[in-house]
Amino acid sequence: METTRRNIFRFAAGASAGVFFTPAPWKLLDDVSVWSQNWSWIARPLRGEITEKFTACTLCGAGCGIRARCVADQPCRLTGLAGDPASGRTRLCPAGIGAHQLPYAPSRLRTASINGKPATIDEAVVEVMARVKSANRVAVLDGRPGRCASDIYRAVAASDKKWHYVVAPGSTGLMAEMSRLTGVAWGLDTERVKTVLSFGAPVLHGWEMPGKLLERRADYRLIQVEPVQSRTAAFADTWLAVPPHTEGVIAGAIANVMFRDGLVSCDAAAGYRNVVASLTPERAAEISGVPVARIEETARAFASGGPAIALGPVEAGTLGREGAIAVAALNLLIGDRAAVVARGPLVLNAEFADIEEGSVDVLLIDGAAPLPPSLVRRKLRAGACVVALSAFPDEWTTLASIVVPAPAWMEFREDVTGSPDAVRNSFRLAAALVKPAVDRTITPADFVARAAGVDKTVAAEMDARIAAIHARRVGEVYKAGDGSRVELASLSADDFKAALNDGAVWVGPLEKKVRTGAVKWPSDAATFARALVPESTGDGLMLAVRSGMPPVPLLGKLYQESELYAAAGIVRMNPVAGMAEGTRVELRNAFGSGNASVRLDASLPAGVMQASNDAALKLCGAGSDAWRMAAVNVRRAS
Amino acid sequence: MKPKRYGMVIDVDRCYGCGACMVACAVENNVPPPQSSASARTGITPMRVSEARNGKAFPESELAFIPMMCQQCGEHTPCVSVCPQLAVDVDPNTGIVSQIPERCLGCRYCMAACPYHARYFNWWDPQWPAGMERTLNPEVAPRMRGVVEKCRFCHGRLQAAQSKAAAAGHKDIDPADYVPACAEACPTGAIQFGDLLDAGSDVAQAAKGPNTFRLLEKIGTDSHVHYVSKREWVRDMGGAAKGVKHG
Repeated sequence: METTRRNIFRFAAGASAGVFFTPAPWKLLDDVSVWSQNWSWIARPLRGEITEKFTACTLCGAGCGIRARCVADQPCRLTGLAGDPASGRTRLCPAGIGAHQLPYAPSRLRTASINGKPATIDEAVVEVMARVKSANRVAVLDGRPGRCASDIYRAVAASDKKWHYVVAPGSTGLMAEMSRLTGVAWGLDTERVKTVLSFGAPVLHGWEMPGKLLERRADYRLIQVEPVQSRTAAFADTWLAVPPHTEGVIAGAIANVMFRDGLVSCDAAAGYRNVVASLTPERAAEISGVPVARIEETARAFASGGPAIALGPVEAGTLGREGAIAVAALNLLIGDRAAVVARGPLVLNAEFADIEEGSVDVLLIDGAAPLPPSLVRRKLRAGACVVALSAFPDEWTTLASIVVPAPAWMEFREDVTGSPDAVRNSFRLAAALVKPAVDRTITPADFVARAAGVDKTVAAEMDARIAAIHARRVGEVYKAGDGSRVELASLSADDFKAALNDGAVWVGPLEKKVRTGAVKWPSDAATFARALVPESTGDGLMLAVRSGMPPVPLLGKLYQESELYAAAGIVRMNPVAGMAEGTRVELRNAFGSGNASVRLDASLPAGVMQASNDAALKLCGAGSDAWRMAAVNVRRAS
Repeated sequence: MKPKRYGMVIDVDRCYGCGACMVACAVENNVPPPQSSASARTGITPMRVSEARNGKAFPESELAFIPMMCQQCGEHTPCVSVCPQLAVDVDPNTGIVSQIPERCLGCRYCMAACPYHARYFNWWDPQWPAGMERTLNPEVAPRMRGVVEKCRFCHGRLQAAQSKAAAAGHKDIDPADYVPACAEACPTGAIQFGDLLDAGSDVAQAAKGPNTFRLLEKIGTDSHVHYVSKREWVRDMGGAAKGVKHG
């Protein structure tokens, strides 16, 4: 072919067209795709030996056993332990599933601060020691009592009269009010229960306790008494929709019906008859709008559907003290038909609410204690120093003048005593499985011991407790690695300790002869009944929901990318309120104000709003124990 | 190896919307935490639990949660038909609709074709907070910006189970060795997983039980994800795929 300009163009055009009929461009395209997906900045998983380790979760009181799949000793997958006798759940909650990523959460507290200025931990210790020296009263608030760290706080309180050890209400479990009435620690027998009468307890939607009720849902009848259609209410067999803060009235009326119809089977309950005499079903119907027949039917279902259990919320926030007593009393009324097990004598801790108002000079807070900030402020003397000991920012680090970064879960070894509502005592260790992601941290107990000048460490307390458990030589040890159970008596002290370090759990025996003392029924029936009836003013009642979720990075999938849970800054209300979706509103009452974005929800009753951030909690006063509820006025934000 | 049709049966009445399946899926498949500007449309949730209501007001309002993932269509698989790169295919041995990110050009034709909105585009490079990349699952490669991804029934677990069976000299895997992360995590056991061709398996029997339905069954994709609900409005909604809130 003659080499002409035209032929060269023809050849080029033909070659260009023809190349598409060869594998070359497609191979090139493939290679570019593969190459461009291996950029150096794309994270690559660790390589190394795959191993399994066993530990326990300490993010809430349920104390779930965990199997950690590790690569090169780094946990990369967490699952529950199906056969673990001490776990609050056999399958983990969303926070637990992603909890191995918690130490790397961007929101971690990385340095200590004093009055907002960065400081070292040593400087924080010195500052707290100086404040303690001139203080009349120093309080340590323990968000998770029962640990070896709690023993240190008790030792500190015993060493000096100015130190006080207190716990938050709700930190002692769902059965706390029942325990207070009887002087006995009670466990919830989830294996036997056939009827659950829940007054706002998050049976099906809670992160924490009672997880095993969620897993056994098919085995019992669930009656939910709650003002809003929570997920538990939505999936209950029966939902009694009541106005906010009238749950206690319903509980009292159920007790009234049980006395009237001879359904009470406990001699010790006689003292309660007068207390609820005025709470007839007719009166409860008048207050709550629930028909008399439904109240009577619920009373009969509870009394005859045994083994049964009446539960209140984990944080007795929406019921108030009297409401919690009214719920706990129902379990006592049905005697042996209640699905509860007496676990042993009650270890009574002073509660924060019992501290004299305006008396605390220094308050050290360990853990996310579920308390209303306004209550905490009332207990403080003017100019008081609040010390927040935490791995993550929370409502207390905002309030505190001194913030001290604590290690996150899995970064240090700690002990887990199991759910306070479990039927058997247990003890295990949560191992330090990851290298600290933040260099300068100190455990809250070690900080408090240093600030108090007490020579005690959590490690030494753990060793002492392990030795004490072994000395009793009762109970059994469950080894998660092979699923075996051995009698504690058959293990030497060293073997027992080694087993605990490998993720085993000690489970105590069922206590057979626990004697309950005389029940301390409320003495003034009129005051009790009056306290159960709500008062409210304002445009509507706002129920503040405290998520209580640790800041696991992947939980953004639930909040942000799926909207499965209401994110912070959202207030849900019925469309009859006249607001449009997305309207920015200001919520205001005597405790302060805050802005939120409206989300319309026809499942809420008119006049009731739900908000889920800490700002909303600040509007909830502490005039009563029912602090998660407040009357608020709503205006469009300017 | 006997051909299988892996599938799921999801009991909608036992799903309380806790989201454990979503987090387990993200952990297993190395899905990064949300970007600050990511939304329900632009984020990556190969397993997403959607809330649905019966449309009635308080107190007659009823609630359901529908776990949604790739429905693993067995017939006329829309994403397979449209992919210009052969990055999507139906594995004849397992019935699983594959997704090969290395081949994907990011044209998003498959996303437009998917009737279930079960495919997600990586709008951002995957980023983990400093140190968190150490927690990644070694069996799944992170995907880069510009490719589509979706649920593959945890293919990393299937490969691990196949490797284990091969090492033991077996042709077939032990069913207990292959359970996707969502089914493993579900605290109420609402998600059942298994071989739909194994007539004796729980999942095959459940799929043929009363009150079962498949999403958009009328379009004939023969999806391998079955749902169960005793509530008529849920079944009606699932069949018509109306009312499921997608953010």
